[in-house]
Amino acid sequence: MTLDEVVATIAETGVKPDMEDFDPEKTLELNGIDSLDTYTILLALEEKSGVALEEVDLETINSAKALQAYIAENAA
Amino acid sequence: MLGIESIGSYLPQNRIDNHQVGERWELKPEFIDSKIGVTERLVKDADEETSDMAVKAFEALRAKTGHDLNDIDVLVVVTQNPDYNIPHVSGLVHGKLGLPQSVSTFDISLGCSGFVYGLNILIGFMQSVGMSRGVLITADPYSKVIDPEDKNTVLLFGDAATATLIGPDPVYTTRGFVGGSQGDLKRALICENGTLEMNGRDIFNFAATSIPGLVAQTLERAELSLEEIDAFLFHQGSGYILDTLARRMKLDPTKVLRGLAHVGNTVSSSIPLLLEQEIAKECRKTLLLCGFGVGLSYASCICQRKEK
Repeated sequence: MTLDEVVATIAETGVKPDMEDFDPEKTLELNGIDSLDTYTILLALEEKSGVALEEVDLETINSAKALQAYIAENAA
Repeated sequence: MLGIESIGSYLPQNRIDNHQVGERWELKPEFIDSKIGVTERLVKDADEETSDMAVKAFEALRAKTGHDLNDIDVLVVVTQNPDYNIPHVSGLVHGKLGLPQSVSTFDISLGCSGFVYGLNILIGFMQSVGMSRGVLITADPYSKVIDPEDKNTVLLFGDAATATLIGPDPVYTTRGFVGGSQGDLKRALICENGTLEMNGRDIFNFAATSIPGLVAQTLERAELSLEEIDAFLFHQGSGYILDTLARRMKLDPTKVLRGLAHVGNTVSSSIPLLLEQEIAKECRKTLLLCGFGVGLSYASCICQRKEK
């Protein structure tokens, strides 16, 4: 899954209506995404990538870029 | 045919303002109202026991039906927060109400799926042994086990109790029951040493991924389409879970009933509290009930209004 695909998946969830100012390097929280919407994003990424994200530590892996790297690392 | 004749409920008077509690973690009121979905929660008195709440729900049912209900055959309580480990709460309720010795009593240990299971267990049991009237009580006061410093749970759960009369002259009959489990070895929702702990993400994932399939199975078993359901009575886990289920199943949001804003997540009482309001609405012919949560356990069924 590329970074563009991760960002597109986040956009598809609809949790952030205005994606123009979305910064994939910033944390989801700094992009204005709350903890519950983060659950929705993680589930959408899991379903799209097939990579389990339940062990992701959101303290450290908390940006689109970091999630993309995790998915790439853990993809079969 | 046996089914639901009436529902009574007990709501404690004490209200906790979640906006005030949320200030501790700098939570915005709009997050509390729209995402958690609980603006204020009901909490029982400290010395009020589970059986006391159950008795009050039973008395509300008595008042609603205009009968003393001393002629029931069976009394069942759904709870996981009993007065004591031993004996069962329904026995204590039986004693406090002074019901005749001929009344059978037993408890069912389930949480948020408990009403749907309880309803179908009780109706099936009554039909198999030839009983005609029974009462199903839900009373699971989580305030007994909530850590007031735990942001994950303290803003969510409320206390309430309900009593549902099952009898031969029902308003609603049930069909299409489907249940299931996803044995929780990950401690998604657990009470250990008297304190509740919840992994909100695990519960969210469980609900978001399991419930759409459960609803589809229930509809298939009952030979109904989504469009034929007048209202969806999901367990009131949180506002966010209700929104997620509506979105993932593409449901008409106006058909997804909400009743947690001024009560909280009342565990096994959340569905009967909604159903109590629906009984009076003649236009609500076909309802889908769906409970899910601790266990992890889920159950769903259809309630069909009996034609007069």
